[in-house]
Amino acid sequence: MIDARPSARERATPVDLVVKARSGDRDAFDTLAAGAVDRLYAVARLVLGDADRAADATQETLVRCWRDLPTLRDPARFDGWLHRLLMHSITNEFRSDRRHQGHVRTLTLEPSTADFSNAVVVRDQLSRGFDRLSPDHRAILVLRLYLGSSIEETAAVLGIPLGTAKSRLHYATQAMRTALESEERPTIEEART
Amino acid sequence: MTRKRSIEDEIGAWFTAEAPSKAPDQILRSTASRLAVTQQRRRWRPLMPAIGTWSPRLVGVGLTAALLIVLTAVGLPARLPGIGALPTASQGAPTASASGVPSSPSAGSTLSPDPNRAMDIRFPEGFDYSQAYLLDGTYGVTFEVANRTLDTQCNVVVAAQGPGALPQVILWTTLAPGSTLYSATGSATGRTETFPRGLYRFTVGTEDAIVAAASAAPSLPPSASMLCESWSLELMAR
Repeated sequence: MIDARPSARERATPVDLVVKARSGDRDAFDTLAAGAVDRLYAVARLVLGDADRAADATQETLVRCWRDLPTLRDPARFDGWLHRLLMHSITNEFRSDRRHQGHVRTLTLEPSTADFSNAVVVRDQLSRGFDRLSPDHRAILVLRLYLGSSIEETAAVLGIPLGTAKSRLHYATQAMRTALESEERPTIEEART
Repeated sequence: MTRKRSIEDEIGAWFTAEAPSKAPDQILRSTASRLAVTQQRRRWRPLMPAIGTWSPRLVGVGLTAALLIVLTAVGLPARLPGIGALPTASQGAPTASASGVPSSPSAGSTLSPDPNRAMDIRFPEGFDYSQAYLLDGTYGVTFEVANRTLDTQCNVVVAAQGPGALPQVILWTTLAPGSTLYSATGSATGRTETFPRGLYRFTVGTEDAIVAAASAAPSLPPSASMLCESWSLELMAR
């Protein structure tokens, strides 16, 4: 299976582009935005679980990136800084309308997979377990397991101490594990037979 | 067996399958149109860039001098014998009405003006901030502004500095009809809306910094600058 997750090298943004954009070069910023928008949207989509709100959060992040870019002192830290902006936007999206939580999830069947039925069940379990997580726990899982950020980078992006990040990740992972295992446990009737 | 993989691998693979590979084109188009009216912030420059090279003694002298200046500014000399005198009972203690801070036209008893606190907010030319109020609020506080008590549109600035900070500033002034209120959710240059005369409820968020600025004329952009990590404000028209 090809891992489509963006690697750290793919994410590395050329410093010279950041420097130009920081100085007000719109072309440079457009290039930066075009290179980052898919990744930002994917993360927002995963955490928020809603396409429209993910689009809003992504757009808000890019606008704020342009506005605040001159305040970024170290261009080499652009990616982490951008992810931090994204997390703020995602948090604001969560806060802006808590009622807008429901969404319909479509499971994609993969007939070519040998045990596709099991895969679909697992995805469904993961989906339900993930939906039950708080925004903070969703975010840390996506940063670590989708973006592949280190725990130190994740803590910096979320603006939390390293210890908090570790415990939050542990809790989130455990919650997902529980979601999977609870579905595996036999019912009382099954156990008796 | 799929289940033999670690839970981290399982979740990572699920994320990869679930995540869209491409963002809608609309995002970049909408962003571009918003950037056309969004100015970049001015680059932050440290006031004392060479402070790291100063000797500890020099830094100490400088801090002492700065402290003296601040103490002087807040009126400490007036409390020192021979330099100033404390007001006596015969002189009468200042009352709220004599403090020079006018009362809010619409905030009622929920506002507690505090003239001793201030924040660094720049307003555009023509912006009337003569009626400025500083207040302490609590998380999630809702300010209800009935601008029907004013002759023209109501203009409000609500601000809090830093995550977890209390909202600290609220200002009223009057606006020309049709003035534009610039509000923001997550960005100080976020959504721009024109509000008709009416009653608006400004709900302050619970954690993030908050700012909203209103221009004094329809064509005048607002300017509100604070050193905050993020901005958040919800505006709800009734």
